Parts: sequence; structure tokens; C-alpha cells
Amino acid sequence: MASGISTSREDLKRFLDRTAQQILDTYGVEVWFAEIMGRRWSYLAGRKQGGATLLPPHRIELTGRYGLVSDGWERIPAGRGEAIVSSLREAIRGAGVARPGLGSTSVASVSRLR
Amino acid sequence: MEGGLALDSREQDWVGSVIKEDEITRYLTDGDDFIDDDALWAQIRGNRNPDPGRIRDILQKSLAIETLALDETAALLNVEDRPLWEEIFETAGAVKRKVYDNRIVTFAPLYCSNFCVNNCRYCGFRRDNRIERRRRLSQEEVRNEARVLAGEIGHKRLIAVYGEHPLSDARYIADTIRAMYKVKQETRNGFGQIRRVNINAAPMCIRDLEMLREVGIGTYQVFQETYHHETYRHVHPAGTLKADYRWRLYALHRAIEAGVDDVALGVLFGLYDWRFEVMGLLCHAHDLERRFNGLGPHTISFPRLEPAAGTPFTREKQYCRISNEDFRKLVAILRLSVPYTGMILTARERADVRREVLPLGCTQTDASTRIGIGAYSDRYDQQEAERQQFILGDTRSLDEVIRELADDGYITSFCTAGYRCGRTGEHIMKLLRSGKEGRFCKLNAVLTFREWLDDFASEPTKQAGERVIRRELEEIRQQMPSAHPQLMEYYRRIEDGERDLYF
Repeated sequence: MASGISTSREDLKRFLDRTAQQILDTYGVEVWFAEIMGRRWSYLAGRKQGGATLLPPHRIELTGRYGLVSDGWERIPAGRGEAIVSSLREAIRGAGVARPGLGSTSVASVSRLR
Repeated sequence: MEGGLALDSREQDWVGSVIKEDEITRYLTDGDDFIDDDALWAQIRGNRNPDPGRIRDILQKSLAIETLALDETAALLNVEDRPLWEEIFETAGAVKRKVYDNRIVTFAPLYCSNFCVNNCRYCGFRRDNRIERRRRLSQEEVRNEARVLAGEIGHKRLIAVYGEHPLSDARYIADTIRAMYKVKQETRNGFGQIRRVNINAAPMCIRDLEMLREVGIGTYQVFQETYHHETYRHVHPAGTLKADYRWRLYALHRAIEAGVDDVALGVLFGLYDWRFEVMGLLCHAHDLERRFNGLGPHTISFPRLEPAAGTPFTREKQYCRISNEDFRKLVAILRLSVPYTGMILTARERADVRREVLPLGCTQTDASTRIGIGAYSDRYDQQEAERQQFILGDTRSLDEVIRELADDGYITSFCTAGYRCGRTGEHIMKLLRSGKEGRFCKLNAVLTFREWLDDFASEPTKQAGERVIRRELEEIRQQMPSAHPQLMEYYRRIEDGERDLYF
């Protein structure tokens, strides 16, 4: 399980890639992450083949800057989805990347997904 | 500046501040850009008289949604056999349907300012053109334009266009985009909004592009105009900002680096030999794919040079007029060369030409088009050359165009879903190449077409549209049974007046 991220954008992307893979492995659910810029949710990391199930995308704002998109989020057991979102919010904010241009050296951890 | 009206000191200062040399040199390879004119001509000449078997292999590669190599496109450019050309045209259409299904996305241009510091020989906006009436829309005027487009015509997607000038710098562009996105107009059965604003603007530095990214632009479009170095020098006078070939060539590289991951290529066909320009576009796509993890152009545009007021270039001998037959060929070859990309056919072309070229792989087109500054809210019907960049070939209304598309078996789509749910950049490239995006296109086309028919269609167009929708719903029921129930739920909610539901 992902246990920490550093602060650069590339590190964040790697962390989110790993998280998306873990969610897929654990729950069989595709997720990807986006940067939110006005109306635009711009792909950042996660499953590039996401969307194969042809269900409407479920969007969750993690912070004002970052969002999670999934086409099968409801398949994650009740309570676990909220916990994952909460952990991701904490990780992103803790890493100082909730807003662009912030350079922080703090390290955050994400709770176990399972 | 060469032979033009002098810039004032503010304009001069601005021109001097735009180009950042290090944002060009970082992309060069051993000091060279990626367009080697001699090598491209060598490819074209070296692939003459291609074997039909080889051509059919190339067509199969396109059908597998793989970008062609330069020598493969060069071979297509050299086909002379007429029946083989028919196979090429047919395959181009098949590739488009495989990637995008039978939908055509519609949009409208919104010209915001025609002040320009450049002096491009072919352009009605050029600085020396004294008969052009200059105007820059205020933010309120931009909103008025958007209100007509979203609330009366029914467009959801715009391409905002700006001359290169300090009056229309990145800050102005960002403000206009915010203004367009704010508009929300009541319609017959719901409400109209601009959901995606793409921009056609001059090359910018990374910092300015980051500013545009932050306001949520859709696609950033910069046409190279011509990839041929010498022709580029000839038509863009020395000393002007646009004279810098490489600043323009790497505009989209900078955009991607700035986080704008939907970028669009284009050539102004007619400045130089069309076969060379097709090769140039392919080189550009290759370089983007190579440097940015497979991320190629979101769209390619292929406008043909049109006459413009006070602009004698189209009467000069350097003008390489593209015949309708060659135009069909270049569109089909572009479709096959970069099979995943969107392809934009505009109202520069006459209605009959558009109808003939659309089946060769085009994915987007404009309608109800006005290209004068403030032309939508001024409500003038006749074209006015002195406030347009060029003369349009097709001024039909969106309603008329949609009816014709429906009669020809296309569904008009107003879909803007992808860029609002992270299907952009690398993600959408994967989905396009795998053929998955086409299924979203089909679903979202039905939903957005339903909205438009209920809100804006005339009775004859509505009838034509209903026939298309019935057929599409049946195809979806058969081909995508798992998606059908959710689609129908959304469909009914839209019939009841809800808007902007999407897959």
C-alpha cells in the first residue's frame, strides 16, 4: 500500500497512479485523477483505460485543485469509499499540493485501502 | 518592421517581450527543429509509384488506429490509380467511424479582437490592411456574443479567436473565457450554456499558457500556417513577431509543458505544396507523441486560403491554389496518417464541398458562423469583408446544417463531456486509440442532440433529428446493452428539462 508521497508533481502523479492501481486490485474499480481548472478536469494520473464500463463518470472533488473520477465508485463497499477519499484529501493537503505552486517538504501518508 | 505601418512604443515594447528564446532552444535537437524540408521532399519523391499491396497494408495500419510513418504517408501521397483512391477515401471514412462513430461535433468561432502586430501577406487582419475596421470586444460584448450563441443558436462549444496584439494578450484572453463560461440563458425547454471554450491564439510563453490553463480552456489551437521554412519567411515579413518560425512551431510543446494537454494543429493550405504540408503536420504529430508520452494532436485543421479584403496575396503567383480534388485527397490522407485525431472542416468551404469532404474522416464542423468582430450580437446577415479575416463559403444556420447532417445519416453532437471528467491528454489518447471513446461519443451525442432538438430546432429539423435519434437508440440497445438503461434514464430526464447529463 502507498505509505507516503513527497511534494513534486511527478511524485504526486506516481502516488496517484499507485493508488488507482491499488483500488483496482482491491475493488475491481477503475479510478483516475484530474486537476480541476474551472470547468476543466484535466487528466493527471490513474487508469488511462478507465471508462470501459460505459457508466456515467462519478466525480469527487478531493480539494479545490484535485479530483477523483470513477465509473464504478458505487461498487466500493459503504464506508470504504469515504475512507479512501478522506485519506486522499489528507495526503494531498499534507503534501502541500492542494494548490498549484506550493512547494512543501512535508510527507503525508495514506491509510490502508483494504 | 519591414514595410509596414509603424508600431507605437507600447506595441514595440510588447513585441520585444513575447518570445523567450530558452522556450525554443530547449526543444531543438542539435540546434535543428523537427522539420527537415529536404528530407520531407526526399520522402515524397522516394515513394513514387507505390505498389497497391503496400498501400492496402498501410490502410490496414490506419484501421488499427496506428499513426503512420513518414514513408507510409508519402506513399499515399503518390497514389495515382483512381480505384485505389476510392479505397483510400472509403478507408478514411471507416477509420473515422471506428474512432468517433457517426457523430459530428458542431461549434462556432467567436472572434474577440482583430488588432494585430503582424503583417502576414495572406491575412485580412494584418497590420498594414488599412480597410480593416479594428475592434476589440469588451467583456460585456463578449457576454452578449455568448448569449446569442448559447441562448439563441444553441452552441455549447466555441473556438475563441484573437489577433496577436497587446490589447488581446493572455490576460485579456483569460478574462473573455471567464465571461463566456458565465453565460447561462433560458431556452424553450431548459437552459443554454457554453460548456467548452477552445482558443485559437498566438504562440505564448509557458507562464501565459499556465494562466489560460487555470481558466479552463478546452483545446489550444495554433496553426503553423506553412511548415516550409522558405515560404514561411516569405509570407511572414522579417521583423514581425510571427516571422519567428520556431517560436510558432513549438507553441504546442510549451502548452503541454504548461499543463494544457489538448492541443491542435493546422495548416493554411494554399501557401505551399499541399503534399509537403501534410508531411509537415505528420512530423509535428510525431514530435508531440515522441516527447509527451504518446500525446498527439487533439485535432487537426486544414483551412484553405480564401480571399480577404485588402489582401492581394491570393492573386500572386506564389499562391498554391488547392483544387477540390486535391482537397479531398489531403483530408483523407490526414485522417489515415493520424487516425485518432479529431479533424475540423470549417465554413470557409462552400456547402457542397463540405458535404463531399465530411465523409472522408471529418469529426467537427461549424455552423451559423459569423467571423466579424461582434457579428453575432450585431445581427448582421451579410458578410462584411472589412471586419472579417476572410470570406466564408458557407453561412447556413446551425439548424439547416443539422438537418442536412441528419438527412445524410449523421448525428450532431454537442458533447463536451470528456474534458469535464478527466478524459483529456494521455487518457483520451488511450481511449481514442482503443476505440472506446467512440462509444462515449455515441451516448453523449444522443443526449446532447436531444437537448438541442428540444431547445432550438425548427419543426422540419426536429423531424429529421427524431429519425436519427430513434435509429441511434436502437443501435445502442443492441450494441451497448449494459449502457442502455442508464442512457434512457438520462434521456427521459433531459426530455423533462434537465440539462448537461453525460457519460
